Amino acid sequence: MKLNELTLKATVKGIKSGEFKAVDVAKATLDEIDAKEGDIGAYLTVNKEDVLASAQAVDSTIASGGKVGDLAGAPIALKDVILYKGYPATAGSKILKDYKASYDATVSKKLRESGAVMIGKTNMDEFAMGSSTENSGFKLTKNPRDLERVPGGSSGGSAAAVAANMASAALGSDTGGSIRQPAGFCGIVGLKTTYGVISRYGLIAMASSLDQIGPMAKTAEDAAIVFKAIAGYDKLDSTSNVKAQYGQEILNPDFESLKKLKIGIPKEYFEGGLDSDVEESLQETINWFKRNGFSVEGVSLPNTKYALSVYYILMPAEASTNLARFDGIRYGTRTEAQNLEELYLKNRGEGFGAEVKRRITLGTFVLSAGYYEAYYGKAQRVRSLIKRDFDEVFKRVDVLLTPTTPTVPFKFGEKSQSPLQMYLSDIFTIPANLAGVPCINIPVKGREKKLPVGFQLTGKHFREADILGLGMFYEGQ
Amino acid sequence: MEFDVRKYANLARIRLTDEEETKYQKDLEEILGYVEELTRVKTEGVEPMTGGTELRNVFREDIPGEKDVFVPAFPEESNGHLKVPKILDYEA
Repeated sequence: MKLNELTLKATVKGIKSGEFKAVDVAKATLDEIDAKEGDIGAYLTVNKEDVLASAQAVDSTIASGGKVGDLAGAPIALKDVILYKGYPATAGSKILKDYKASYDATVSKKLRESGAVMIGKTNMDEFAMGSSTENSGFKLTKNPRDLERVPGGSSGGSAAAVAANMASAALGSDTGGSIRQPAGFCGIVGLKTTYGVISRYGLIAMASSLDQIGPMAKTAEDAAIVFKAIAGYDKLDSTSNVKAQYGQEILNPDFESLKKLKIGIPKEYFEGGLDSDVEESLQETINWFKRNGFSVEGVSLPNTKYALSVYYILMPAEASTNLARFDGIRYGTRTEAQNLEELYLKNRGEGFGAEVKRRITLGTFVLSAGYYEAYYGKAQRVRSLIKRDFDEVFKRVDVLLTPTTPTVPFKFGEKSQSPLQMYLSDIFTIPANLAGVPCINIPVKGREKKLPVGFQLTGKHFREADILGLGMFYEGQ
Repeated sequence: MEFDVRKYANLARIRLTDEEETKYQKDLEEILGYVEELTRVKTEGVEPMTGGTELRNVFREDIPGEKDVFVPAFPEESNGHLKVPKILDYEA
């Protein structure tokens, strides 16, 4: 087995024990990128010199007997929406093509402190708006499991990089499924955490009441290790939650107590529209948990059917305000114009891609005088009902098991002509963002030779340990 | 409801080409048609969820950033100050 094919856990362990060096891992990963990147297109930026230098630094610290962190020498990729000092942070948009981060996001800082080697910045749908990475302002990313199919999105580059062994793990961001859906499509693990437990300082915002950063990894255990390294309260993010404290339970779950968790199967996620592949795989998974002694019962989240509508009002509304800062004055290059209004119209009209323009226009409409209460206000009230569904159901069960997506990965161009068809691929991932609960994609086992199918485990607020633990149990048996 | 894509794109300071205008008008009418379903949901007495968190009024110290780092990141500068285009239009 090549070094870049190891799990993150085995990579860090091997480096710390002196079995191999961080530089060897970095070289193996860069070789893999050289070999595959032309076909896959996961990355927007890779700086080989920086990669080798930071791997060398880890090796030197170990050689001199110094202490290294929990991610020592692990090559980790960052979605290009996360700031890493001195590197471009384009958010997949031409409007930021010349922008370089002048500071580290809190997660970037934590990765550095943990000894991770930042391997590169990954491709994504522009400003995280999309479900296939086809909306990138720069290039397409292909699904490593089938190059004719999309990797999902918006964190498609991060998912593809991990799935193709071009990174040990990666960070993505998830506003309505942008970590879990591409993880599902590429056959890897992706975790969206409880709202407020990973700092978003240095994340280019799309919809602030929904956005979360999270790990994408080869295994649930790897996701847990990265999660532990980047989670925690941060005063620089005013939505950061002081309850974001996680102990050893995250890394070393007690399987005996995990087996007492009650699993709920919400019927709304299985009512028609599922690919037969997805339906069969989910049934097998549910049976697997039953066979392994878990209590599994049917439950209902009656307002699930409204989640997509709520999301496609709130998200564009928040995005339209967050993206007002990209005005042709503050960032990147400035195009000259006759007057100020002309400058705005020109820079934003030419700098943004189609989906971004659609969503900003929609968001401006739902927030406008006369329509605000009917759209934005109404959607916020229905959001309360959706969250209440989760509060109620979690009085009866501990974890929910659902499909991640209604279909297997689709082909390029299959949905890109109709925004609404594209939006429907997020139908199962959106509710967790609206309710702020943690949710993980785990690949269904035994599909290594077929297109991947993923299932989601959704937990109670701050109970990442439950869903990560169940994921580890499922993988390990 | 009369939705006019040009009006709202203009409010958002985005110039659309004629082609974009036609396409987005159709796309957004389709999306607005879909979200119409929310009018059927009874929400009397339901408080709006106004954000992702119940935290209120979070304060922190306001510490100036490093000028040497941030000024060069801005598209134009003059003597260490941020330079922006003229914003007032008037006949002299």
